[in-house]
Amino acid sequence: MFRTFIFQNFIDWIDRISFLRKRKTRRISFQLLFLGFLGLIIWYFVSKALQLDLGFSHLNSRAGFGLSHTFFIDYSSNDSRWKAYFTGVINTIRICSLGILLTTILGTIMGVARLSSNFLISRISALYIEILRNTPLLVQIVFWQIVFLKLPQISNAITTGGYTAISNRGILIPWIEANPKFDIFFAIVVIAILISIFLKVFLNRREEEKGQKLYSNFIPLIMFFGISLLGLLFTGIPFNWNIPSVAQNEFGTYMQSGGFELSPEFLALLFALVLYTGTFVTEIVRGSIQSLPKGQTEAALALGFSSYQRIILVILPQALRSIIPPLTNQYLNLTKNSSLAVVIAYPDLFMVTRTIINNSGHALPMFFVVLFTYLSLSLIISLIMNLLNRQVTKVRV
Amino acid sequence: MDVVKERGELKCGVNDNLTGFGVVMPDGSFEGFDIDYCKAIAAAILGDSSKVEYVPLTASARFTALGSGEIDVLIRNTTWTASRDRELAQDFTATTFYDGQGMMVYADSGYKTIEDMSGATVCVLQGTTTELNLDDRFTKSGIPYTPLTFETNDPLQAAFEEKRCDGWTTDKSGLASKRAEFPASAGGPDALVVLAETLSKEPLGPLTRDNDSEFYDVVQWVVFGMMQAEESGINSSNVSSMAANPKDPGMARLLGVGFDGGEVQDFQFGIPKDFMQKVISQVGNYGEVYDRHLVPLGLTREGSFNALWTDGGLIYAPPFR
Amino acid sequence: MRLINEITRDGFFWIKENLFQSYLNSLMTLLIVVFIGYLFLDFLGFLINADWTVVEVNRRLLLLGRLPLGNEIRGWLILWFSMILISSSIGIWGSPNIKDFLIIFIISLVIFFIFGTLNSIYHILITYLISFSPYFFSKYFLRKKYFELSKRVLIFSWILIIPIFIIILLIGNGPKPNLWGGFLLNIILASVAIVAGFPLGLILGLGRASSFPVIKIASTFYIEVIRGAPLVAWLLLAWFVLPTFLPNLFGLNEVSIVVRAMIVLSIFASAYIAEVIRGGLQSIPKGQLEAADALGLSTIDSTFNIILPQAIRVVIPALVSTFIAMFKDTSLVFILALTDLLQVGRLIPEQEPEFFGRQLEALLVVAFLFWVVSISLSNLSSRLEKAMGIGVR
Repeated sequence: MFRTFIFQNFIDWIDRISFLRKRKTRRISFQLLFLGFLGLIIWYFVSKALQLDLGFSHLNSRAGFGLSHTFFIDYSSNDSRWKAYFTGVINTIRICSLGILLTTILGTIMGVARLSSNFLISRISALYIEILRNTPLLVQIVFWQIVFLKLPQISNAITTGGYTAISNRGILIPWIEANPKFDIFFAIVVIAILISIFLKVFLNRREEEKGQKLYSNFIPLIMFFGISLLGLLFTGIPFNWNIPSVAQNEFGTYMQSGGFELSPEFLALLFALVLYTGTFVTEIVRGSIQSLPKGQTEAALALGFSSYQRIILVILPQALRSIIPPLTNQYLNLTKNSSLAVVIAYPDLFMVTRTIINNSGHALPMFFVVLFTYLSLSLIISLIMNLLNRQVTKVRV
Repeated sequence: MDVVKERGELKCGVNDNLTGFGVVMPDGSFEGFDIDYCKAIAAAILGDSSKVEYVPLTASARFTALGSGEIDVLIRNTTWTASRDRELAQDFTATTFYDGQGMMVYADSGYKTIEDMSGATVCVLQGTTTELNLDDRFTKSGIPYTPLTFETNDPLQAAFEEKRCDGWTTDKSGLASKRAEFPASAGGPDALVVLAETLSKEPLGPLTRDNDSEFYDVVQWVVFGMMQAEESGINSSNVSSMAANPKDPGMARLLGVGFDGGEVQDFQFGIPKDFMQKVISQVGNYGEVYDRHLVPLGLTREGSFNALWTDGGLIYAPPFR
Repeated sequence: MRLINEITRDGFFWIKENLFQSYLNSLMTLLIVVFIGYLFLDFLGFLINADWTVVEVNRRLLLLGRLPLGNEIRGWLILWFSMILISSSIGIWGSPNIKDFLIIFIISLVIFFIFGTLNSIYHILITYLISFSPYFFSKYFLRKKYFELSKRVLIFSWILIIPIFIIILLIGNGPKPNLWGGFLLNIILASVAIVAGFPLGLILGLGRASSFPVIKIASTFYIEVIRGAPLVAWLLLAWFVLPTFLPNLFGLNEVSIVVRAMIVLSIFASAYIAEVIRGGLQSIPKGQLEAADALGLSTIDSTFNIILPQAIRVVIPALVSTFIAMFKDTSLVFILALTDLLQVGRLIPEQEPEFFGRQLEALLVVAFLFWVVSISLSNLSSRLEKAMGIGVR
């Protein structure tokens, strides 16, 4: 073969150079050569990059633009660009954490449903995968955006019994709001948690010493709820309900206020991310359940478990071991895909970055900030999942 | 500039979705006020107004396109600001259209001024000065608002049509054009009101890259030449007769011909001396371009800044001399 | 009569076995029937009120973008060329049944119904002729007489498909890459990404599995960094800073944005392909390498002649999946202000006042096109998997 011929000649030629004849020397010199080549490339890129302005100082200046979604951080346009960026990061974390949670639930249900003996249920799950998996996520985001825009306009908002308000401005749900007594209540809850943990550790030790069952899960739990309930009674009710309302202002324009706002942009992104990533999770769950030995199901059947018990107690815990690594991958994908928020006016970290770049230039340093943030988020997710994986694989069944 | 000559084509960054200024027709061609300036520059440098490659750009993508050499000149209703001129390393040539940022609301909202709009949701485009002006304005009055920032114009328009937001802010010319074509099924133009207040000064014009003064001068003087042509009464229909028989030395200098058998003045732009003849015959003078694209939108010239300086406006060309 | 009785009895039995085994199951079935019925009625309501003029007027924009008038034939040529390749490949390798033909026929009918016009009726007829005749030709003639030769020619043409597409688009004073758009752009971008990303991904995949620590670390670093950030971020980087980094040679630093998108997509795809290749390498039993070693083959020899051919064979279905992923991801080029299919779909409802509120119609057609291509490819992938006996234990 031609390629072999070239390689062989190359190797023969190397062999002829005496000091390269040793395998180890050859390996090292080859790697050094490669390192030099790599260094050359890196040097080229760095020298080019140095021509650009690489500072981060512009991030300290006044942002000057508003953001439609602020959560946790109280951002206003008077704050620095750093703070605007962190608001974006919080928005990303918010959508990703909720997305990951819902995706897992949806994927598990659909994955189990895919293997259901009920024809209709398994077909629905199959159809769901076939359709949503093969359409670009961006198309789905745009689809949900349009769907949420088609909700009633705010003047015709649906107010179900005065407790929610649904319009294309957003879905408002009642929310609790802390009043001054909340601090006391919060302190009591913290104490309750501490007591429960202490009790749990104590009971566990006693269990090991005495070898008898002391309900080491049950008693601390009762303790926690008991103390919390007492605290609730002691402080009176520490929350106020914040009930949404839609009303006309003095000009006759409808305005919404109160409650917890789920904006259409947020919901559209969430729906799309969950439904799209859910298809992949479904396939993962299905695959790992199928890879379990048939004997497991049969044994569970023989033990007289109901189908629900069979899935929750026997199948899923075992499947979890082979689910977690690919699942981590999907969580990372979801996180990265949340950057598509840029198409639908949801200010995630990527969209805020774009705005900052547009206002100030400095594209390359901002890109490094974005890269660093996504890598950190990925790392955090991987770490948590690795810990979980260790927990799951530790217990030998 | 030599690059343009060598390539035989001008790469012009434009808007593809703003009626009157730049819009794609169903057959893929472009039309509009800004588009005509692309044509004029191509006519001046290459002698043929059709030798333009249009590159449609979003608001947030336009400066990088220019900076990276993707396009030669950016004519995309872009506002002249200090930071753009200096920080983004670009040169504004001249103002072709004096605009101001406005706010459009639904007539039934009852809003009369921006002060009324406390707590309102406002749709705005990302990567524009509008976004920053909007914030400045509301911060100044100390009223809360929610900006809904869109990447492109189409979803913004869709959101506004469905009343996702109370207000839509952009250049007043843009608002006028959007209002004029507001769908009848959503209430038609009468359902909308453009508030009287102008949030900012928005002088729009072509941009070139920094440090290309030869090309910069050509673009600048093509723009001025079209204004001067209107002032001197030269238009596309009479330009050939005027060139054959110029009325005065000034007109002769503009058209690149000798007056009364005299020498032709060469401004040494590096392009044919009679470039303005080609521009005017193929594209027209400032007034013609304006009438063709902006008057149908209801943007009248009389009394606005865009009238000739002789009529009390700001359209004023330095002398061709 | 007895037959009918039996069929109905079997039918009832099937329904009972599969839908109403237990109370819980019956409840679920009923709930789902209600849910599906509701969705169906909703969709029916949408269909009744739908007005497809927005799509009808803009068929050309959707498929070809702003490709100048008179260049449609290039689009047709690309379609025909791919059809000949696909159809003869099926003839040589595939064994489709009548159901597959029916599905292909129905899907193509739907596509032509949406996008065909009276002017293009001859083109459509030619397309049908071109789509079906190479299949029979290759199945009943080539497969019998020139099997090996035609196989090689086909593989060769598949490898060359991208250059051929680009030649078709550019030859004879064709439109500039900037003017490519619509669905055509999506297909070209995805194909280029995979074809150009493959060699790079191969090198990286081998690099990551290499025993040289320097090479291993460098490859791993590259792969993980590329996979660490979302594609939109990379595209944005290309848009902003790639021109600064490209050497000022052969006008490389002022390449068109489409070419820049191709570069980024290829680099991005290469990282994912590298991971696929690595998976393939890992799936080859260690014994293979040891056997090669025992035969006295050098590392390079055994890698290129023994391990790699097997590994690539194993990963072909996964490569198809990567292609599907890249194909779906090409819709992200909106960030570079390119007008791909999805962007056109978002643009056209705002074009005319009478299209007010017709975004869903346009979007559904866009989604349908993406879906048809992805689902056919994913079917292909699962068939390949079955044919190769991968995943069967």
